[in-house]
Amino acid sequence: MKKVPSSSPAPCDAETLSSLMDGEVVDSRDVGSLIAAVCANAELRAEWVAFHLVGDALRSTEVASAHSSAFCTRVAESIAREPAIVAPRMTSASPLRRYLVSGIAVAASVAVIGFVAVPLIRNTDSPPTQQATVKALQPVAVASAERPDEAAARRAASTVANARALQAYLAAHRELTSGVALPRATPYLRATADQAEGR
Amino acid sequence: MSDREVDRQLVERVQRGDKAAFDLLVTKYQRKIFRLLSRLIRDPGEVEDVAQEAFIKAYRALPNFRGDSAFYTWLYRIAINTAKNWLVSQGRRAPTSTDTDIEDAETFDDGEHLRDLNTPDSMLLTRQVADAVNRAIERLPEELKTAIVLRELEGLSYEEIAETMNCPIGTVRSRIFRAREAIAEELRPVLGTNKDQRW
Repeated sequence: MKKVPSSSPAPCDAETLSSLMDGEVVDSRDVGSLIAAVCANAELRAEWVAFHLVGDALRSTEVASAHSSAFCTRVAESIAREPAIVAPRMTSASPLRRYLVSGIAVAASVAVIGFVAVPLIRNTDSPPTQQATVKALQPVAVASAERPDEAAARRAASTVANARALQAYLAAHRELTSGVALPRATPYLRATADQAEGR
Repeated sequence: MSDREVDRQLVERVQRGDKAAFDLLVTKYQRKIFRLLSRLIRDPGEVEDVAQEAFIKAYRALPNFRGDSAFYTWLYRIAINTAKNWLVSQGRRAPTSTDTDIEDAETFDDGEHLRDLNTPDSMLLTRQVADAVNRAIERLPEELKTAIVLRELEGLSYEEIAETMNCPIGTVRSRIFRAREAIAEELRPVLGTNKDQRW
């Protein structure tokens, strides 16, 4: 449907409004501009109200008598206090188009996997990489070949050395660390951490 | 182009920040919403309050409306949920399901529930509306009467009416418009919808 700028509404008379309400405008491309004209014209808006009331009254006089002009005014005043909506336009895509777009997206994903991921996987299986993997695994194998008591002693020594280094670091930067987010809680945190480590 | 397309255009305008377009949707559907809510809430004043809340909620939720369903079907759900929440807040039991389903929301053929709520004032107004409609219909020339009845009560398209009445579509358009004008003229004094009034 052709979009007409809202600033230049098409001329609309009451008869055109009547057919617009019935969804029977001669040129459907005019609908947007006709609605813009109705929104901008108080007289046409009054006709809009009256014509809808006529339809309701013909179908049910009880329902028509439920008409309340004060109600519409109250709602309009409430809406006027609401912030104006600025939302993305509705997508009027047909189901067929949506399926088509989904299919293209899936095909594109498969193509990316085919062109990018598969060569990477193949390279991973090549002999040089296998050698590198074996080399990387060697220290682990050596470490696991050590006796358990030697490994534990080495880990403990390493932990103590790290803890001393950390203590020295914190002592050196105590003045700077006083401005941390939890200054009052920091000593307790450190004491608790020391207790947990058995110090 | 259909009535649903007109609603879609109005919703798009609201989503672009045009509050007047939302006013048109309110005036178009307020009586349907009143009828719907009166099935759940007995007091007419409370029906108006809940209807107002439902319209405001709909306005706030409009950025998320994607047009997958008809606007009225969407509005219907909001109104039902608003009424249920209101009943719960009042310490009353909210119905687990409504008497009508979504398909029924598209019809507009009875005023049974409104009739149950009639007060002397509302009964008088209903009577006045019925008299005004009957008076207007009786005064209409036969071809205008047939055209408006086929359109509003039978829901025929202009093309179908033209075939039935054996006349051009332009003539159908003109007859329906003139019939609406005549009936609206009779209803204005009864319902206080003057031409120069905002609503």
